[in-house]
Amino acid sequence: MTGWRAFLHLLWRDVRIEARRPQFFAASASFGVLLVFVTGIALDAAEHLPAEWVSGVLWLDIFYAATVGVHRHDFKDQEWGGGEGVLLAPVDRSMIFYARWVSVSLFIAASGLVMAAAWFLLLNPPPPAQPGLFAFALGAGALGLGGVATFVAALTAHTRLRDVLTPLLLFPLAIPLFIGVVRLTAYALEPTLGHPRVWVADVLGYIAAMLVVPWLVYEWVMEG
Amino acid sequence: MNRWSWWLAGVAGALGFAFLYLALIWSPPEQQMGDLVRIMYFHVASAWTALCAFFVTFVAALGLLLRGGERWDVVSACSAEIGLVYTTITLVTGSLWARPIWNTWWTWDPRLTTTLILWFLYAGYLLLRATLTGFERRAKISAAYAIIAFIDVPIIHMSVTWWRSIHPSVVDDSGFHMPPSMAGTLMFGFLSFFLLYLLLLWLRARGAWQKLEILRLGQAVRGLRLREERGR
Amino acid sequence: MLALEGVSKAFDLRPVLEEIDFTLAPGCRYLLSAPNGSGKTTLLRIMAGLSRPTRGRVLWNGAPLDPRGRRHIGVVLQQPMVYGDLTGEENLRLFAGLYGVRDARQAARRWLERAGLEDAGRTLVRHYSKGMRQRLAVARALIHEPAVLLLDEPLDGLDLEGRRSVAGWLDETVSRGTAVFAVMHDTASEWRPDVRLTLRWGRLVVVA
Repeated sequence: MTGWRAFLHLLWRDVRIEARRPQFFAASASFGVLLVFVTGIALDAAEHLPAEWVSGVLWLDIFYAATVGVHRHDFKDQEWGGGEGVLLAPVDRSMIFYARWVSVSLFIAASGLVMAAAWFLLLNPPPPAQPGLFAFALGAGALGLGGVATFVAALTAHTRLRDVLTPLLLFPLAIPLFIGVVRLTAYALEPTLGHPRVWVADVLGYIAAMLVVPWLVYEWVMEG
Repeated sequence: MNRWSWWLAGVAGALGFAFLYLALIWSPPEQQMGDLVRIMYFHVASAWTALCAFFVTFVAALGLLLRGGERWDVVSACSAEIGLVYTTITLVTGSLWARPIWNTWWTWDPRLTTTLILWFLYAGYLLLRATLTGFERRAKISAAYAIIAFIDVPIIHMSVTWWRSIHPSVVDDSGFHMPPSMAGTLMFGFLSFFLLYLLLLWLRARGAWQKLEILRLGQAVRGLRLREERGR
Repeated sequence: MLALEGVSKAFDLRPVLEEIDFTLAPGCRYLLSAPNGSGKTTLLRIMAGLSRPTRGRVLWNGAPLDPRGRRHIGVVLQQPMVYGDLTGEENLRLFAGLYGVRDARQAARRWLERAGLEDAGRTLVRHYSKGMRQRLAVARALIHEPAVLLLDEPLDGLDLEGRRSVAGWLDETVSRGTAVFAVMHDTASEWRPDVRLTLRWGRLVVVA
């Protein structure tokens, strides 16, 4: 059994479950759109926000909305014990992490697209001068956030306060990613803001760290 | 406390008083900041000690995962608690320093920002520990978090530094060059703070370890009683 | 074969299992019954590789149990270990795939039929009755034809017919050389073990 095939099976599992009952997507997309709307009110319906501010608002919403949905699939794992069934399988347990990471990133990207649409409509940011970079920021942001959120969700899955603890652990750990994607988005909107390369490196480096480190400790996290 | 820790307490106390003398009286005022520079000794020394404490947490977490045993977990948790206290001192003294110098309680200086994130990271660590049930599970999960958190610290610092240097910065922290008397005072301060850290860690870890032993004995006694009852 | 070597386990520093040495023999039926809270399920979880012993090792053919060793173990615990939002067939296909069973789809159909669930194959497991879930759980554990089968109360929640058919499957797997290790408190059942075991003060003891 190659790890790659196990990965595909596990990915298929999450996508199938989410397609049948899109709880992650529904929860985080609706909450995210609501957040964009409330932010618009909080900023007194400002017509033109500076590019830095408006991109910060977008990512704050995406990060916060992701923490709302991230426990949905852990819940499915625990409900009938399916997650333990997967742990029994002759599969390297880091594969379980990677499959969940990719599926969570896909769902974050999907709900992030909905939030970005609401954000364009309601907060009226300038159209991206560099659409490719904007798309990269969204994609890489979803991937990095998916990784750290999956890891934190695994840590807090057995705590009494997991709904509170997840954002509390996630935000400090994700600061490098957060700064990176906010700066990249701002740059995509307003190219005079400069220095995108540093932030591309920062975001990619963060994703690389997420590739390596959970692989080292995930096995221990999953065992009772 | 045993004799060893009394000795350590004595030395730490003596060093502490000597440090107070050096920092507050002996060392010269700085040209621009005047006497305010004296806060810096406490600020920087506690920041360094906090980093050392978190490094110990990291190493103990690695030890737990690689070698196993409750000792590692006890050291890891106690060191994080003390490190959090030192981080709090760093933040408070930083704020006190910033107010007269930059006319604000808080500035987005990269080091100060990183320190605050550090505070949140390890406050999260202690919260995570407090909400996990099951001794063995708590030890493993919090060790995994401690490892990730510590590895994240340099990445956080780098990204925050880039972020602030690309912005127009209020503060230029290229630093001032210290005369030997100031550098010496600072090193002395660090030494006495670090010694105090060791003393606290020793006392705290010993207390926690004894608590564990009591728990273990209690469990053993319960087991024996059960055995006797059922044996009859 | 699956073996335990000096396995001890503690929860909250309370020793549950102490120094257990045990080796399973192929084609042998083991029945473990002991009072609640004596560590039966803990022992089963350690043998399955779901839980790490505090001391000691779990061995597969003399080497520490690793993912490749887990390929030869089938497990039924109290929970059915399936996904409620997948159909019965999808669940079996997923696990057949994870165990590297050739032609997972075919195997899933075959086992649904054997479990008497062919009509429920396209129903979400969420809507299954307890007995149906239990039969699905046993099918999930057998789909990769394991050499060791570990069971925690496999006859629980089944009616008489269901108990007989599951007991029949177990005997059939034993005849193929599979070692079956079952935890049950109900000993007067449809299933006759070769070796009866119990846990006494955290140690595994042969009764008969």
